[in-house]
Amino acid sequence: MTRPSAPDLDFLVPRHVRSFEPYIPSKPDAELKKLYRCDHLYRLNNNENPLGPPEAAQAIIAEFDPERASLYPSGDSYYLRHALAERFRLDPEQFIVGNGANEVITFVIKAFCQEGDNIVTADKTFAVYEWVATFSGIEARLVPLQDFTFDDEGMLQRIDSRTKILFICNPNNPTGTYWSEERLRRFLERAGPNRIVVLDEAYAEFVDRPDYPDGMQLLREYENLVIFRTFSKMYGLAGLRIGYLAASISLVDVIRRTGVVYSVNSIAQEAALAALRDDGHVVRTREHVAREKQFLCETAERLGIPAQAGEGCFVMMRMPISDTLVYRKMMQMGVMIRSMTGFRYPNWIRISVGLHDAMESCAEALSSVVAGER
Amino acid sequence: MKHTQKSASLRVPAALMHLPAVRSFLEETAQAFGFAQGDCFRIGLAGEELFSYVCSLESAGGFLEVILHSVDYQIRVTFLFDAQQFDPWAFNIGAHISPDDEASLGELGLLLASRAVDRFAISLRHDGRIELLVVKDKTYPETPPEAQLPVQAGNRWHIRNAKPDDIRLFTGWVRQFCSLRSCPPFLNSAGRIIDMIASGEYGMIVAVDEKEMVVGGALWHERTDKAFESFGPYIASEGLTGCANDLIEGMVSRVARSRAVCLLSRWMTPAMPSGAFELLGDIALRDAEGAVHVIPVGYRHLKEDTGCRVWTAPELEPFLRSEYDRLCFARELVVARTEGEHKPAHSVFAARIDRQRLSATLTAVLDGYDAEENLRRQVAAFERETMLNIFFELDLSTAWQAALAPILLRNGFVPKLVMPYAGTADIVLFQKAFAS
Repeated sequence: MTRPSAPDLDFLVPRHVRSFEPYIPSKPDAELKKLYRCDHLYRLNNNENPLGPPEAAQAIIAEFDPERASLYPSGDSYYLRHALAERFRLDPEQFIVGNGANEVITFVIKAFCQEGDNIVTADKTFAVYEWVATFSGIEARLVPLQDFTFDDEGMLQRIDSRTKILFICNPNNPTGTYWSEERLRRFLERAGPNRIVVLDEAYAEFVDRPDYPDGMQLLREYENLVIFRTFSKMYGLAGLRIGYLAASISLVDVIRRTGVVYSVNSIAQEAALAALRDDGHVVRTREHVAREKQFLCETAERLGIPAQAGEGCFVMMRMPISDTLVYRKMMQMGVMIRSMTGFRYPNWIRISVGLHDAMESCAEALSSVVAGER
Repeated sequence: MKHTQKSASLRVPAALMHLPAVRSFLEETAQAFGFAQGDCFRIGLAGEELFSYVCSLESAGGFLEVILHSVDYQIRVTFLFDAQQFDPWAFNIGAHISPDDEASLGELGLLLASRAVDRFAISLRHDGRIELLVVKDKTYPETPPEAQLPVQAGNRWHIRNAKPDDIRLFTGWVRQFCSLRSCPPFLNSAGRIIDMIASGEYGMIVAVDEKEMVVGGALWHERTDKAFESFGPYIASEGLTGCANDLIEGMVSRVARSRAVCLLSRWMTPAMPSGAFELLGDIALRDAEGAVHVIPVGYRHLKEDTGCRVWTAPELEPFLRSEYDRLCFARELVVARTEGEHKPAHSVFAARIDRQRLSATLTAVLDGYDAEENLRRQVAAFERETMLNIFFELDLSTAWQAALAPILLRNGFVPKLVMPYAGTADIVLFQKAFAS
């Protein structure tokens, strides 16, 4: 029997996919511990909530009837959308729930962009806007941050007739900076109604500032606005993959056409519904995050390392050596941080807030790395 | 200006009667692609030598594919043929050429071909075909050095992608004070750099001051799928240390989201900011006058290391463990042992010749019982060719390659450094110790 010849991938694969490099996630903890020869591993790299999910959500997960695994979930997260509508005083038809916020990013780009179009965002922000655009054959126009902050003027200047979406991460991951309501309104007015403005509020629940805009309320005034939120961060449900978008009914009607129904599993929907009702969890998490960020900032100051700590559950630090080397050194000490070269911040690292013992270990590891370089 | 890459190919039986056709195809196509007569002649000559050699092989009888590919600054000619029809052993450059054996002198064709061009390489492709690659750089006029350096105290600068006029300004001063160990030869011509950047195969950023003077620059290009090579940073004054830092950050940021895993640098300058690159080690390059230049090799990882498994020989293990510990790379070392399995009689080592640096770099293509003898003969041939710097790159992705380490050690090669992710897995670079 002759072996069939290999497919001609040069012919089959579009150029924009061919040139795209897949993201390689980190290996499971057990594998990493073996490789780095460490007996414990504190994961401080993904901005997860160290307090875990709210208690009510934990109960849902613990009590889930295994027999229900054979049944499809609600295809459009019916009850969760209604709960979100009630919470934000919007219409249930204004929400689309996805398998993590990453999925709704894909829905939006697919819904509005075609070949020749472009999106505008920052160069040093959450990478998925750029990635999805690029591997979809859409140009991603990247505007440098100014003083760690999205540059509104720079973004407006990059708009042309083929610009379809402006992505703003507010507060920005990884810098934690944000636009005030006044600045956001000014931007929305100048961008005009003929482009979609996405406001990614993945870390909104961590912000307790009077001038921080409430994107959900702005939806009433700006019909081209789309809000992203997630249950992965504040609500501690990262492992269940659930996030959502909110927009005007007319936009949601369009975005829904490129969305995949049934992509959100039953446990995720029900745990998210329970989590949404636990405001005490938000308060406890904010208090914990504020305390541990303070600890991290003091550590940085003691070590003479510049730090950037804005909103959100993370702190950036500028290291005296390559961030990827710091990553390897700290892994050997059982502490996993995020190296920031991939965010175009060479020599910076981002540390997610963890429980206090993890923060202590992290501070020790940082001290050791810095001492080794002096 | 958008430059296009051009290519043309010819499929021809391996018979000497087609020699004129091959030569005229190469010369005329190179001319049509805009190369000067001298360059066309040399690429034609190299092609003729290679084709004659292939035709002279006893096993010859199949077809060859000749592909001429050009970018504005370079012509690349690839000969492709089936390894089953042409014994790959025949392409061990110099392995079976002995000055005492007149019959073998006919096989000098490979060496003659390599002399006519700038680089020459043999490799075995994944599809089982042998690939002979010859590369001829386009000849450019040298840019005259500028007497005046473009920098004054208190300059401020910003970083941008290099434009052709930036490159003209940069090339004028960079040659002034960069030592030979920091400046690759291509920096002697602005025209060449402009074409390299326009091809998209190289990247360059410059630091420009308030008067639009270029006061710094850094370059990079894709060495392999996973490893980029960087050059610089070059700065117009020692006082511009902040500028060097901005150049490195600018370069790293530009390749950070590419498919590259790392940046390697054999062309670092003293301006390289402390801590920006890790030092893998150094190599020593001897020049034609006998002077030895110590070249540090720098490394900048671009991703978070997910670790991997690599093969080693027992004799190499202490070196690897020590280097991986020093560099903090997570590696599971697996010791390769001879398990008594059959292997072919003849090994194949591919060679990269770089006449500018008088260097030859061998890589292992196929294992064979004659590996040690093959290595000795190839080294002897390179030494006769006054290749003063002989390297061997051992890829630790396979057990059989790792098992070659003792052969290298027995024959005067010394492990100099480990280059993580520089090959299919990590590469250990061995260097042949200089003869006293």
